[in-house]
Amino acid sequence: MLKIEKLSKRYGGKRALTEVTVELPRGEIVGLFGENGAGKTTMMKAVLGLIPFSGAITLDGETVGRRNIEKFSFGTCEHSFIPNLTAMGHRDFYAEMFPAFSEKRFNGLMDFFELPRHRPIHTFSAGHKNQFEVIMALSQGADYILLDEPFAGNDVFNREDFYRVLLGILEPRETVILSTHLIEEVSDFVGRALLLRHGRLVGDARVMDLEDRGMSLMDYIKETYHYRADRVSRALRELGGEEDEA
Amino acid sequence: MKKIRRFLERLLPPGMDPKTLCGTFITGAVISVLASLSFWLRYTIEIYELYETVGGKSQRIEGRMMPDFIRLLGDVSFENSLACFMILACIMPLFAIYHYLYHRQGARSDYLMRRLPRRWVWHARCLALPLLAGAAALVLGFTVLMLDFGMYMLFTPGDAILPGQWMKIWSVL
Repeated sequence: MLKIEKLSKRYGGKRALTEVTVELPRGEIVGLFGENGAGKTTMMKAVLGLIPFSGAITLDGETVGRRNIEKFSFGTCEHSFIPNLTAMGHRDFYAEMFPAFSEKRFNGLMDFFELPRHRPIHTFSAGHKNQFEVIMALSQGADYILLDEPFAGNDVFNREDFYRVLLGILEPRETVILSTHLIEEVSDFVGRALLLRHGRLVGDARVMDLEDRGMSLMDYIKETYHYRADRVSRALRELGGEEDEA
Repeated sequence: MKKIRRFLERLLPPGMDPKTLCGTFITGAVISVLASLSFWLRYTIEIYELYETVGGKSQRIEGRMMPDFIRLLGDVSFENSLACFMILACIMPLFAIYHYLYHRQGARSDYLMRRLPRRWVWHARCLALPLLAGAAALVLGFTVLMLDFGMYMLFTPGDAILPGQWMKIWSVL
């Protein structure tokens, strides 16, 4: 169980996260939603120990650190692969560094995405780079797979195929924390939604519970964010009014 | 050759070609060795100064002494025949900065390196070869110093050598 307690983070004078507390058991696909700057990436980086923070992050009661960091993998739109290294070079490096690395999954996903194995990653297209980033995160053998906007720039067919593959390959011990703006696209795949706003956790719901209440994930998110449905019509009316005055 | 390459690759950030660092080191070492030959130029001039030609015969000038070894080596400045080794030893560790920056070029592979279970691997791969190369430059410089000193003591007539040469080296070092 991953426990995040009173996680706070400031960048200079700006609060990026404020006392976020959440428990994430194994075996879930969790969607982490929020507008730009809501704190999604900051939260993931804090879990991985990539940034200093206040609060406590523990895995099975033990502070996340060198001894259990291999239980976490990270796929980010910033890309954490090594651009000059080939896919096979990555495979060898991961296999050496992460004892639970799954070569079988690596090969399966490389075949699925039809990625070249002997070319440095910097020669890949933007879409292929994203796919490779995700492949490494899924193949590391981690229990918690943190994916931060992994498919920014990928076409919709690739994304949908990936979600299907993801559902098919995940083992019961594996938890995926998926940060994305593509809410409707992932609503069929995530089992739980965490909503961040201005660095605070403003929503935490299971998709099944929402369905029982006759609510879609999108409805829940709009409700939590107090989305004003008349926003567009009002803006158009005001813009039109300006034109009339002119 | 492949084995050496593989060995060097393991001392560098993953995916980095050892050619750049090794090429810089080898070029620097060759320049340093060539620059160190200036000692022999000074030595040859000074050894001829010990002799004069009388009646077609070369003979020692009485009371003429060989300058100190350390003086022939050059001042403690860029004129010193071993200065290039020092410069090389100072340049090589700068590659470590480049190695850390390498992990931010084109991607944030530092995120990967920082979450390795054996986190020292990241630092080891950034620091190992630059520090080794820096140390190798110092060792090479010291070896040339010892060779020069050995030759100085071997080829200079014993009675033309001022006493305390060894100590004078250490006083400068």
